[in-house]
Amino acid sequence: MSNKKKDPTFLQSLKSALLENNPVLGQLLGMCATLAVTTSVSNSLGMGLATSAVLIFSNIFISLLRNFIPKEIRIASYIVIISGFVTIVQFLMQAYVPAVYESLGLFIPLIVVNCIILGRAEAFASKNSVPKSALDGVLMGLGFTAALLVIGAIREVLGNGTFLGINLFGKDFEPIRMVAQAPGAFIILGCLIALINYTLAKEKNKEDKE
Amino acid sequence: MSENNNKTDSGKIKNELFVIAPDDDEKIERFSGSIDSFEFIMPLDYDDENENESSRLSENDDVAVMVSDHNDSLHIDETVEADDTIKPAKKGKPSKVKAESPKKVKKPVSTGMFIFTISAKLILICAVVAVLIAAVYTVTSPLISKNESAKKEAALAEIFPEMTAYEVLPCDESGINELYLIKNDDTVIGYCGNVAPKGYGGEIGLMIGVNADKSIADIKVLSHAETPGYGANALADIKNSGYLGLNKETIELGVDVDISSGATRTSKAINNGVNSVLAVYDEYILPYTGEVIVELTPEEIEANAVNKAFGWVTEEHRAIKSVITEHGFDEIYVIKVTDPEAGEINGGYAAVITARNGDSSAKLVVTTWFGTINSIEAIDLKGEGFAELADNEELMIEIKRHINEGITPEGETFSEEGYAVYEKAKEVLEFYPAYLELIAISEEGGNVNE
Repeated sequence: MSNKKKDPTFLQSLKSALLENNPVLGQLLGMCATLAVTTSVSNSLGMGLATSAVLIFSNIFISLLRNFIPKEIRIASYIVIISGFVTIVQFLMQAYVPAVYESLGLFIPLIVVNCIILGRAEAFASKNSVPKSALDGVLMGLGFTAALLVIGAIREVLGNGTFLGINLFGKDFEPIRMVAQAPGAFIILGCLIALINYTLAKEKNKEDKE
Repeated sequence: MSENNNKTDSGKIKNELFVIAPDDDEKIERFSGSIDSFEFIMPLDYDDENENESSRLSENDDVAVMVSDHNDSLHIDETVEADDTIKPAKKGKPSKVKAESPKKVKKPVSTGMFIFTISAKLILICAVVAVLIAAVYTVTSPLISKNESAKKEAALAEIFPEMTAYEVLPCDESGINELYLIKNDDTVIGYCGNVAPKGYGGEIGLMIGVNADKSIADIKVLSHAETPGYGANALADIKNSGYLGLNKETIELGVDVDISSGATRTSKAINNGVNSVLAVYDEYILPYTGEVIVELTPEEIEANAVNKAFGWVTEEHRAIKSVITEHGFDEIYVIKVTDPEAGEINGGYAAVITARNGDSSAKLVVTTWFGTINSIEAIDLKGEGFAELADNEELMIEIKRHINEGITPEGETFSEEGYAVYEKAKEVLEFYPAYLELIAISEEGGNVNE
């Protein structure tokens, strides 16, 4: 059983975080935040960055404390730490970028229950060193933000006729209202997941043939 | 097997695995003294198909520490760093750990101690997080309040572009957060109420502007948590909701304005907010914008009160507007006379009252002298019914007589308007005992408005 596992290179990790291990499109975590917030590109960007910030800091903190937290109370501890960071991020946003805070509104407190953060804390940060956990936070955050941006762009362009608030098609454009609401979000999400799976399967087939 | 060649360059343990045969208890024991926990250790070159080969640990073997994770699956624990290879002990001798394994030895602890440790750790974590949050809050909360005030000020300026100054009025009505009086130079042009009615998803922060004539100027949304596509759209579309320009005492949802379809709760919240702002008009705003019904100046009223009431009054008599505020009349004047012998005495008081009947109203000056009604004079009449009172001296005398002699008028004695005057004038006389008390207080130097 020669199981020499090489550490993946940074590029490999990045690709994995964006595709097959993408928290939203691959691991299917954090769906409710995704569907709710991706009505516009600016909202998606704001939410992605806020979640990434919380993810990185909570990963670092939890990794630092991984030997201190007894496993019996680990979930409780993680939640205390995560909600603490979300509260801090919320205050900072409210004070320094009130416009973004207004538009994200009640989704910021929802970051606490975003499964991505708790999931990564449990699966990675509690077992790995601080630098690695921080990097995992960055990569997962990137994957999450990327997924949000793609969905947000599609939904804003098709569902509202704008991109970053700029009207693209002129006044007579009838946006597809459903896209801006929940059903459209689900459908787009499903299509993206299918696309990624298809691409990965094709790649795998190519590799196997070689 | 030397001590050092088991280290990799990065200080991680070598990926070599060894199995301790399941019945090799002796060896397991020896290792358990220095490792946190482990399942079993197996050789790297363990050959599944040839199980019976080389499955025993020997002194010359390297071992790696393996720890089970929470799912009870096996993996190499990479957090065990530097020098973690452990020489299997020679028989009889305790195993040597070359370097400190970060995994501490699990000593058996009592249940009480265990619970205490866990609780203490959890409390510590909570405490540290709480301190961090408090620190960030202290830094950011002044900024946040500043942002909130700036937002409210901006809303005021948007609603009333001609505003030059505003004044915050103290208001302790339950529905209103703040009440702003909007001024253009010295004229009051309207007022704004900051309210937060409960909508569908929480409180909706609204700034509702009302003009001086009680018509709605504008409604600005400060914050909300309503559903996008439904309540949020209703809020974004407030301009077309029908509120703007509406002038009513209370606005009825569905009758005066439309309910936004699909956003009933939101519409109700907006309506409640608007009505609570309208409701404070009479008590808080009217003093600043009150309709000037009386055409006479205060001096003229004084002159009337004194002259018409007391034909014998000379320049030594003066009617001064009383500082008493709690009286329930529109105005009240205390009549002082200078008696040549007794000096200045308080003879009586005159009250300006408004009698109403339906839409009509009459402003009257009622004068009293030492506990009886002296005269009732109409100074401004609105509406048909009261118009008949103009210069109707006999009626006034009759009303006066009824009040002074304590006769209750019956049936058709007076018209409806006459009764209205009677009731109001009677109140003026009924104030006499209170007036005496207040005079006594003021003569002792006390504050009549306590």
